[in-house]
Amino acid sequence: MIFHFTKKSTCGSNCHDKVLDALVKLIPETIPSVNMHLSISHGLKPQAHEYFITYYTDGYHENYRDGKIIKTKFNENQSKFTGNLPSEKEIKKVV
Amino acid sequence: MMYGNSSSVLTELAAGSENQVLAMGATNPNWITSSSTTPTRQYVTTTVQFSTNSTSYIDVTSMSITLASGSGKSIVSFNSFYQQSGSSGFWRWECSTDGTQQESKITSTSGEKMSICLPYVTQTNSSQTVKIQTKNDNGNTNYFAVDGEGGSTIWSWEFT
Repeated sequence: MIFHFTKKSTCGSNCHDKVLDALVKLIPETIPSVNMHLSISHGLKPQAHEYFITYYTDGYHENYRDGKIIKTKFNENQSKFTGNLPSEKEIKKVV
Repeated sequence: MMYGNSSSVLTELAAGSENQVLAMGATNPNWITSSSTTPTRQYVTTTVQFSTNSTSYIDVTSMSITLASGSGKSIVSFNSFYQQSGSSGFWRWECSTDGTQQESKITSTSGEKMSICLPYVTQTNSSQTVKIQTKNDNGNTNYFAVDGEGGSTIWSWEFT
């Protein structure tokens, strides 16, 4: 499951890690790089940040490419996300 | 154009057609159509930082080019101002026709910012899309065009 959206964000040092921390706080089952990953294109003002927040809910690693979702087999470090997913609205509140 | 021919007689050579070039024949100059064409050169550059902590390869946003059609090859290169939060950052070329290429990596845990470069000569042009992918095997975060202090650039130059 990929949450893909843009949002105006204040970017600073450790921007990526701060977002990850916020997501872990929102969803305790979140294990970064294991059952989900985060990618950010840190657009500068006045552009917005583009977020790709991917939870491995289907038992595959997922990658967003040209509007399509590419699924690949897990490597030895990855596992399925089994927590309760929040809504995009809830995620947007914390990132 | 006026020139002296092989008999030293002043001779007129009418203007050639567009893109024709002047060449010397056995005895007199003439216009010929050049066999060379301008190679396709492309680039994409950005100072927008991209970050990911994926442990499988994903595309780096904007770092993609579609090569020319037909035969021939292209030299392509990726440059970026880069940082990783820990060890095991990887990046590579992924080509729609040539396939994935040898990866580059930094295995140290150093978090220093540095310039990286990854050239590749394609096996063909064939309108294939070439792009940069990245991953971090240890789940650390890879940053390209880090903090906007340096950019990320991808370029291609066709040759035959």
